[in-house]
Amino acid sequence: MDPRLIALELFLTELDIPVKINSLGDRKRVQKAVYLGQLTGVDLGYRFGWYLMGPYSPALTRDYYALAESLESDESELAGKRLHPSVSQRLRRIRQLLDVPSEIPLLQEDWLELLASYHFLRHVRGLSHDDAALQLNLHKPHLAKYTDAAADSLYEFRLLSGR
Amino acid sequence: MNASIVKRVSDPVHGSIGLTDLETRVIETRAFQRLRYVKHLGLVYLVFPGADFSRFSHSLGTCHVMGRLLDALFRSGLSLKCWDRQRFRLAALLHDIGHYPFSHAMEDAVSNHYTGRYVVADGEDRPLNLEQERPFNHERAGKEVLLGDEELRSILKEEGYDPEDISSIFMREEHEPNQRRLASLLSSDLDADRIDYLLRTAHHTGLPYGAVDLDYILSQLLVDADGRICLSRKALRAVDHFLLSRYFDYLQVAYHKTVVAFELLLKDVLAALLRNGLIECSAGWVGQAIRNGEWSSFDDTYVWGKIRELSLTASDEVDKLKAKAILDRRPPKLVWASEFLGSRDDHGEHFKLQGKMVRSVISDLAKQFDVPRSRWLEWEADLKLTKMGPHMSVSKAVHLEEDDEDGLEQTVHILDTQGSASQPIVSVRQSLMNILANYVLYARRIYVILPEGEEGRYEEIKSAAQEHLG
Repeated sequence: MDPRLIALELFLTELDIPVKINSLGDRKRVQKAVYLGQLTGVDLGYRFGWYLMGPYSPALTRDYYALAESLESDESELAGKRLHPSVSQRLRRIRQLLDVPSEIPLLQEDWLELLASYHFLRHVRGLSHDDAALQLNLHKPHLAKYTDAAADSLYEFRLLSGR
Repeated sequence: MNASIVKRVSDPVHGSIGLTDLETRVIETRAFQRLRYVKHLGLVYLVFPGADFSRFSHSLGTCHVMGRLLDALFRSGLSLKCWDRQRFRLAALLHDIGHYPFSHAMEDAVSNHYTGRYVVADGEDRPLNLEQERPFNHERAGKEVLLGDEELRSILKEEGYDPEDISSIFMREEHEPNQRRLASLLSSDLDADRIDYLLRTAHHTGLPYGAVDLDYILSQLLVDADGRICLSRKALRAVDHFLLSRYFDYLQVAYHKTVVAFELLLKDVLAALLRNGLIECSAGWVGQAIRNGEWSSFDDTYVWGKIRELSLTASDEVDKLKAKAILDRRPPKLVWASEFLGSRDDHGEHFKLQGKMVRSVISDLAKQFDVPRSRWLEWEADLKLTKMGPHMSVSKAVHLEEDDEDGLEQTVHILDTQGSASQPIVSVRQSLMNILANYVLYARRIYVILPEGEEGRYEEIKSAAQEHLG
């Protein structure tokens, strides 16, 4: 198994995200969790463009299919391996961010889509909060009403700064 | 709408490439000149001697094709400002500015090396600087060049172009739908990058797969009622032909048995260079090298020197053997190969099973012939003619999955018979792609590399592999 895939598997496990890609929801969860996880400075090298459901990396898609296939055939390469303590520490810091707040009635994959999309529009595209909220309202009306909560969470976990 | 052409460059593929003053100034920077010394096709020239062209000529060609695509769309009625035309031509010109020496082989080695540093074995303890020790892919490195190379950045800024905006085009970061569609001219099944690649590769390898009817394709480029870039139905044959040509080009060049052998060897050697500290290519190093100018000499020649050094100084005998094999042009030998066409729908189940079996047989052969596992190289590929399969209807587009969306955005669209909406070529019943997109070519090979003097064992190993795997 490529070292990159081993790192990806351990990265997702540290974030409590199942390495399961059977449904759209599973795949979306992995995409957005890796996007958010990389913001902690644990850069796996995946670059995200803007797609219908927000940040998305075709290279990550290729890798999680390859990872799922490798895990099906042989998990032994993971034996005795773990993330470097400084990597684990950074990822653990945002684990709670990935849990949907109790007052928000969204599935985890949708919450992650909202967090990642808002972050992308603010940080990568350089939009103001109001403009990002407008874009989300236009393209993701089912998520847009929770934009403020997503913004608060990203600031709280220090994935956005300079409010 | 043409910005003034101030210079013409003679090109074997396109004849004459016109450049604006700004493009000329960009090309003259040290960061761009570096691309002269990064070969576009890695080690392919060890098999096809003419295929030693650089990312420099490909970048000029991609800029030229982008200009032609934009002009064709403008003639079809797309509203396009001179400013935007220059933005997209610049993005095409600069799309490969961040490529490492040996391109994709190095990128793969860098990705595995630095993400591998995030993982430790139980009980292992070593320092890790996360800010520095992380990988950049070539597009991210390209953005770093645009932002960090003072010479290039100041030229763009003087003319009012934002380096970050240019990089967002080749990084697909645009979120505004019309801009994203224009950016697809640099990243789709039929884009400026792929068109130049196919024409240039065919020209330089001498293979006949570049006879693409580019003029006709350009003359049929349109925009549908939704603003999507598409082609008229009359271009169906020309597009089928283009996609088939690309398929055959892959089979004959990228998948050539000796090209693959050298690429596998190269990846291992590059990994050894990184492991042994002979080269450094972390994000931190890349950023610093760009700022202090070292980047402009980080090219194929530089890495060849390091491979030579590895061949003399490596403590690991297999590293030494592999480095020497590349320098002496002694490819690993093919001992077993399989190739079959399978249905896209079965998700390669048979191929996955075959993979398990092959890995187990390699372990057995390694023991049987007392050849360490690190001298065996396994290669696999699944090649599709189009990014997306044939079964997606346009109505499904409203429930698109992201994997599908990537495919849908990248797939060539053909205007329907009513002349307003367009549909993916794979959905057009008269298209060859409607049938062929159902299939995937699955290929797998085993190579082995033996020290000098032991080459006589290849035949014996080959027979044993055949016996095990058929």
